[in-house]
Amino acid sequence: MKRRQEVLVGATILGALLLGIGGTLWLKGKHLGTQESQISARFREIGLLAPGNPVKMRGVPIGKVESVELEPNGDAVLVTMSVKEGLHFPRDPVVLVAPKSMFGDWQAEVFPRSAFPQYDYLESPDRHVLPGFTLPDMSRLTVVADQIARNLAVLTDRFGIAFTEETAMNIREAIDNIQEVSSKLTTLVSTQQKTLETVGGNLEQTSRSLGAAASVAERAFAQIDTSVGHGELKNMIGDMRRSAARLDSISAVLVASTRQMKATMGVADTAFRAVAAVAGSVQRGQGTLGQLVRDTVLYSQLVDTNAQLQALIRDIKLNPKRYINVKVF
Amino acid sequence: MQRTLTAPLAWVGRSATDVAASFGRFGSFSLRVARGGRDLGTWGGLLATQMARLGVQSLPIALFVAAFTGIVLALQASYTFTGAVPLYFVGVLVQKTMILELGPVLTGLALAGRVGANIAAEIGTMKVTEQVDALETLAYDPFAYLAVPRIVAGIIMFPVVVVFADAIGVLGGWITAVSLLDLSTPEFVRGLQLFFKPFDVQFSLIKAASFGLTVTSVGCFFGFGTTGGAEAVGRSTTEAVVAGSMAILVLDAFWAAALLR
Repeated sequence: MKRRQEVLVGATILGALLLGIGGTLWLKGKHLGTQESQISARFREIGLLAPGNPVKMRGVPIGKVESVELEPNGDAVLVTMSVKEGLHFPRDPVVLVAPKSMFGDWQAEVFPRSAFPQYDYLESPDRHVLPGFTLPDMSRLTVVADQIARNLAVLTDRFGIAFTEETAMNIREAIDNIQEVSSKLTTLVSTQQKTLETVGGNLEQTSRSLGAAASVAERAFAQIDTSVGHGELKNMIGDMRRSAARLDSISAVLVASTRQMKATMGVADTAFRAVAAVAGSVQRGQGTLGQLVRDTVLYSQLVDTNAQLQALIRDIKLNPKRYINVKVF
Repeated sequence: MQRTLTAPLAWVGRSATDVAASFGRFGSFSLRVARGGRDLGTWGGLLATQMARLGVQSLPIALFVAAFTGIVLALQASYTFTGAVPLYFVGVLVQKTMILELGPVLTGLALAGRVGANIAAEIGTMKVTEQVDALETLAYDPFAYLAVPRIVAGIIMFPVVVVFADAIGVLGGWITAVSLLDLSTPEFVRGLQLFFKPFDVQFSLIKAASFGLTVTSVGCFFGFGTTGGAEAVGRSTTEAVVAGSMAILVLDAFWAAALLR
């Protein structure tokens, strides 16, 4: 009896142990006999990700989050994940952490960086640690949505203030004007269309005239062609060459003349400067000429003296002997 | 007149004295049990029998309670979650509630009735029929012979029973979800695994062990405290069940406050 009880108790305890351990492993998502390897990723923050959350690739569960540790300097969070061994990750893999649903369950998923290049992944100096980024959860999105809603409310208010009854009437008048202008434009277009049709007819006629002119030109070119064939053009070219040579020599002469002109201009410039200096002195009353210009009395005396000298000279010419008495001996 | 006025005060004083005396007696009882624990030769041979009686024979009632608890949990969860919450959360609720709370507590309450009453009645009867005195006359420590194997068996077997109860409760919820609700097995399992932590199981086992200790200790305490005749045995049995059930609820709150915060 006692032996039977001992066996019963032993079996019960063993069953409970197996059930407890097996159930725990099963609920934790562990599969006995599956080889696993560990990968790590680095994040700025991880939201509500916790050990036990699933790790996925292309939507398929490949493992679990094992641990979540804040780095010693507090700058980043290191997440360690156990995944099925032998998996081939995409090139340049990154880990995105995001809410799995709206009810607080989160997940980590491995992607190629090219799938979501817009996110600012936190790189790690250790190349074995994958870069990671955490998407905002619903609460943060709600905050952003709230901000957008507030901005919209402000815009609506401002629009309400700006869009008064008067504004509405103005807009209505503007619309009426636009309709009127539109009808006028329609009339104008129909009128112009007729004009354009006339112009088109004229153009057609012109085109025909041009065609006739082109025929004439064609004939002229044919004659030119004939002339070229008879050597007249060769003579013309020879004449033109000779004329060009003459023009060349004339040009050389002109260049030399220009140089001489430049030298002359330099001399003239110097002379003009000197004249200007003299004129300045005269203007300022400096020198004899200046005094003459400035002093009117002296000028009058000089005029008088001049008149007297001229009278004297006339008198000498008339009566030389009065002034010149030549004796040889 | 004066006696009428002082009666309430006297009642309060007597009650306080009784409570203090009860704690004192329980302290003394605990010391004697601890001292009896050293007498392995006396209680070691009785342990398997007590484990079978307290644990293995309690499995049917515990599993019955757990199975129906799981069924009710699944149905109530689906009723509550209609529309707003995805139905796979039925699995979350069944798993969390069964393992963390209802598995240990309902099992503890069921065993407080069955095991606590059994121990109090058995030891109480032995006490009033002077069999305990006879043990002492034969140089047996009655605490080592009667209390220690029951208490140790309770500490060991309550977690065992709770493990089975948790599993059957989850199984009951699963079967209900699949057969009565619009929920598939993968969805229910997804819910089961969604927020599961191994600590949930540890928490459940810690609670179960403490409930085993409490229920068996209280039963032994009231059994050894029985004085008088058959009526006293009945009173001790009732008191053991009531005190054991209350102690389970108090301990439940204590562990939640101590380990889940």
